[in-house]
Amino acid sequence: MREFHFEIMVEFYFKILPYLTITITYVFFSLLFGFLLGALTAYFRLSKNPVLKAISGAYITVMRCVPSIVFLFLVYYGLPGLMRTHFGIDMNDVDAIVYVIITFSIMLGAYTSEIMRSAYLSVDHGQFEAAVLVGMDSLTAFRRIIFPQALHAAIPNVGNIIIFMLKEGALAYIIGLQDVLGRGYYLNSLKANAYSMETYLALTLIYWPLTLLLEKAFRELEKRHSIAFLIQKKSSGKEVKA
Amino acid sequence: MIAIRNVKKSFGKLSVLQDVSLDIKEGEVVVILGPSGSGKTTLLRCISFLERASAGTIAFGDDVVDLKHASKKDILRTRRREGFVFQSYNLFANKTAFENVYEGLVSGRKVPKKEAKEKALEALDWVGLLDRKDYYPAQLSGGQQQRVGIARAVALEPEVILFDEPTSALDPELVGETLEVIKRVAKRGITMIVVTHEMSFAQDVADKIVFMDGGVVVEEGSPNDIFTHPKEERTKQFLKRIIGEFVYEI
Amino acid sequence: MTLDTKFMIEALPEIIRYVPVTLRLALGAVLIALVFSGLFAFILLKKVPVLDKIVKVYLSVIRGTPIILQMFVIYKIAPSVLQAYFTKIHSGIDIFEIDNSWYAYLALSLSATAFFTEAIRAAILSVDKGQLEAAYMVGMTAPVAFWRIILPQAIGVALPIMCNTIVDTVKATSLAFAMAVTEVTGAAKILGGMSLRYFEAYLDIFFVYLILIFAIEFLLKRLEKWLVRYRKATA
Repeated sequence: MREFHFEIMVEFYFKILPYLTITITYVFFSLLFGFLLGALTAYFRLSKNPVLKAISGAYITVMRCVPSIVFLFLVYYGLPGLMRTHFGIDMNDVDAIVYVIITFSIMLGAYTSEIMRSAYLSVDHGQFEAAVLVGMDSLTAFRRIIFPQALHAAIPNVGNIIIFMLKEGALAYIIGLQDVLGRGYYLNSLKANAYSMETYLALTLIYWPLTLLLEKAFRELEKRHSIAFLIQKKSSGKEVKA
Repeated sequence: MIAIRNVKKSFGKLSVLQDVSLDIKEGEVVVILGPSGSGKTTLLRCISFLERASAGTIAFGDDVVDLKHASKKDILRTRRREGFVFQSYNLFANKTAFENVYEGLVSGRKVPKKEAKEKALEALDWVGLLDRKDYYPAQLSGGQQQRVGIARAVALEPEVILFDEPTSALDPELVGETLEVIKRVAKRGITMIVVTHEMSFAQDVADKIVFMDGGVVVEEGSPNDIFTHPKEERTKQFLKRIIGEFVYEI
Repeated sequence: MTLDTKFMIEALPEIIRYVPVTLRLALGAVLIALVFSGLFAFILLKKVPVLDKIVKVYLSVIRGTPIILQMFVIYKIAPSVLQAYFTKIHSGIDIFEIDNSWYAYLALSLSATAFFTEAIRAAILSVDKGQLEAAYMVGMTAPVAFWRIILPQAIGVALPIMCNTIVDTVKATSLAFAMAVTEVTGAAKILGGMSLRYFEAYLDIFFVYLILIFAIEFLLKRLEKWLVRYRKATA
């Protein structure tokens, strides 16, 4: 086994680190569009319209059953042709990150819809009834009563989906995107793959702390959002007299 | 004879049992009464090693076992002399009523399978649940579950059966059927230690009543002694509080 | 865009030929993961000194890095580590004769092991303490109580999460091309490259995976239902 070049590892680490902005960019936009699509899907799935229900159900099943990489390939190789022949749009100059964001937005749409649906269903129906009984209209009841409670139920899953996206997005290197993993792959290949171990360690030292941080942040968020915590805060803030 | 000697137990600074001793003769039914937190349940759990006592011994005849320092072998041997009926039944959730009784015989006591099967069916029949033998605990009522729990303990033919508040978790209308079965266990001449809050049951079934409070045995005697002529002030207070008028009707 | 359906149909048998490879990779990884996760869960539950710290770091690193990176690490680094070891012990084993599939099993199992470990640990802790007490009081020893009472109940709890992990492992086999193992995705890549009909090739495997994973999920759900049949109260 050849020796480990610590200085190369450090050099790669700092050369890769700026590319975190690329990773964060696709994570952010995929989640943003994913959640919008997911909200719509969850709404369809909870609706009484059997056609919408079936379509959203099929969409979720398909996304669950197909590996991300296959879907990324389909978008990457299929979308330009589709756009050219049907809309006359040339996608030749479009950056790889766009394909990544499109792919994962569609995938996360399915995943997040399940998160939202189960969060919504976790709120006791009595909460809605009570809200309506005190005179709120349905939209207000949803906004003021159901949504805050559902949000709390969804916090751990939202954390997981962000971490999932961060890691799964690394597949983008396959279509030539230089994000964190992509940059590491590229740097290593420039040196004839002689410093694989250094590269992989540098990459691990970027991804791992980042997920640890996210996990910790979401645990904290969950704690702060818990009913017990809110009660504690309220009652220590001012006297609550019965 | 079973001799329980000088049992002490504390959880951190809290002393739950302070030097408790008790003798149980063969075939005797001992009922332990006392307010919540008096250490009754802890005593049962210490002599079955579900809790490690801070000090004390239990002796079955000449076989003396140190409750604090017992080895794995000692513990297993002692437990195999005992049967235990839990407050929350604790039937094996993944086993049917029949398997609950059978499993103990085969895996716990190494009874041959054929014999175990006969014994298990007999025990279930005896508690009136033969027709429920293939039901899982989740499919049985609380009273039925506890009767299976009793069958499970009885089938093992232990030297003593420990009942830890066997009816406390039951809905009121199911208490009666369960107490009836426990009475039948008593009539079979099986040695029993029963922790309970059911006063009239205690009076019916007990050969000896032990009143505990604050981690010590305050007073013991026949049901007649305890219920009608309690000597200690604490016993009087307790009985008055629990059964009130009832005492004076006897 | 016109879809070359003729190519799609012709390529399909070529691709389906590799379904067994995909399944073999997933099965191998799951089996390895089962062994190690059992061991790791035991270490965590028993709080074995030092080892439990190591397992915790392992779980954290694996959960915190992309699977593709884990594959790179195993594929690029494991051979040289092994080579050095074999040379040292003069075993005479040539590292280049080891089939790439073995590295793929190992790489795919890393993540599955982590998720299984967590699922098993949590499931065992979820079994009511009274179950163990009852087992002790009918005279079972601790190992007997574990195998006959605790584990069967824990499996029921762990299974939904473990099924997800199994499905994820099947999906992750699609990355095995990074380790020069040709399975379904690898086959599509090759066929697409030869004919320059990438989209059609990937559309083929899209349907192959859809059916394959849907079927696996269905079977696992059936298994799960059977294993927790004791839970449903119908009386």
